[in-house]
Amino acid sequence: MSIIEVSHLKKSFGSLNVLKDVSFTVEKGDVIAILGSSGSGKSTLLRCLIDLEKIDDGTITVDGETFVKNGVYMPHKIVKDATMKMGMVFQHFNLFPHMTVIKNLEKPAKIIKKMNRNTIREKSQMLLNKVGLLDKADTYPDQLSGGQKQRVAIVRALMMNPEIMLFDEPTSSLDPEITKEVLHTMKQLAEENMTMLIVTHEIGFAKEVASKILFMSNGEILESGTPDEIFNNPKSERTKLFLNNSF
Amino acid sequence: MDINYILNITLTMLQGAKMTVLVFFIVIIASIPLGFFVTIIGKSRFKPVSWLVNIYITIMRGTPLILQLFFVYFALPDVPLIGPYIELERLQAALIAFILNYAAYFAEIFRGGLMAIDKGQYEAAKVLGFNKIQTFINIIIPQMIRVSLPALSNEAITLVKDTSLLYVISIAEISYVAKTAVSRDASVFPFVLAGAFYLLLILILTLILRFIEKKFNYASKSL
Repeated sequence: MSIIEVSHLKKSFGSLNVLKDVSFTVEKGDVIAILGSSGSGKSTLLRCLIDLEKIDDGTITVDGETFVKNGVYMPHKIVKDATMKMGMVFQHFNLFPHMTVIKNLEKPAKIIKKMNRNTIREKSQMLLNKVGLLDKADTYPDQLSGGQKQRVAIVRALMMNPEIMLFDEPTSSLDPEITKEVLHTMKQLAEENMTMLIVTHEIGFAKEVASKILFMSNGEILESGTPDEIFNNPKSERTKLFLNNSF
Repeated sequence: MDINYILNITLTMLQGAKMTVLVFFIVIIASIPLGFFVTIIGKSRFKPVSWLVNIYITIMRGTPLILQLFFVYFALPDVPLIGPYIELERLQAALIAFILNYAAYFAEIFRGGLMAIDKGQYEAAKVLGFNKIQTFINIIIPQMIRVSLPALSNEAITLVKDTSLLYVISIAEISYVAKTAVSRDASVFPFVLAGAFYLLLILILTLILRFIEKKFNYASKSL
């Protein structure tokens, strides 16, 4: 069974149809890069998956749990159970500025997961160590570089033990030098078999790390396939054009 | 002007300062939570409630505090129906007028503080699993306080000086004491002394506020 199943998803903002009948599935361990030009609906798609946007029609099933069926949302608890299986990383990090790095990691775990102190502390230190930021545990987000912030944001999401990680343009507000360190962390995650959906403009990264590419244009998935299929053998003109312009 | 006179007048004015400080504290302690409460219910989706809040804030900010003070003290007992039941001491009337007035300003400050919070904060909290109340308590309020503090400090300092309005309903605070002494002694010295008192009070208050702001200044390196 697929870990995510999306069928006939439709979403519009007013008269603007952002997503027009989008269907796709994600298998456990997939690393999916979602490519496409700005305004193609990539970010909206991710946001719909984790219930930051309400969809107008369609069905979304996460890890066997259908939280919206034909545009009708299930009771709050089911929606929350399903979306809690996912962690999300944002373009602008969205760390909590009034908490130190370690508090950013531990507070949600403490309040939501109600894990005990020692378990939390062990886990937060292990994760910070993994991304090389253990020495920043007691600093505030505003004292970190963009790349450091994003790595903190990634491990903050991991604290909640998600099955799936969603990345919404995680490196778009970082300079190229710093982008590398974030991509490195994401690659590590991919190697650990985390299921990942990544909206990105980093074509090189997508090519290297993704197991599958979704190419979106105008609110539709125009093409999907392995990186090899998409990059070396694109079927649609639109995809070709996009890839040509991207290199 | 001999030393005895100065000492005497200083002592009397200390009594006045006690009243000023008392009013200041009561008003601050009551109007900050009330203002916050007004902000919260102002966000209510139930329209009549947010209209009422808007009307309240408009009146409080759109009319002079001195008129509001007169109204509560002199006019309220003449209002039909409720009037006869209202018997307010001078100080009570003053406190009511001040608290209502300042709560309106604080409500606007908190509203601004809430607006300053990036919507990404709400989204991050939501995807981590915080419910609305948890988000508000753990994520939003601490940031709102931080953003609101400079404006709150300003209002607090204004409040110290605004207490001099109590003079008009003969409450013996600093200004009242000064004016009485000036009339009685035909000397402007009490005015100068009163000024020094206000200055000193505000100096102390400023130091306290600085300390509080520092406490909340989690983002001291930037922002």
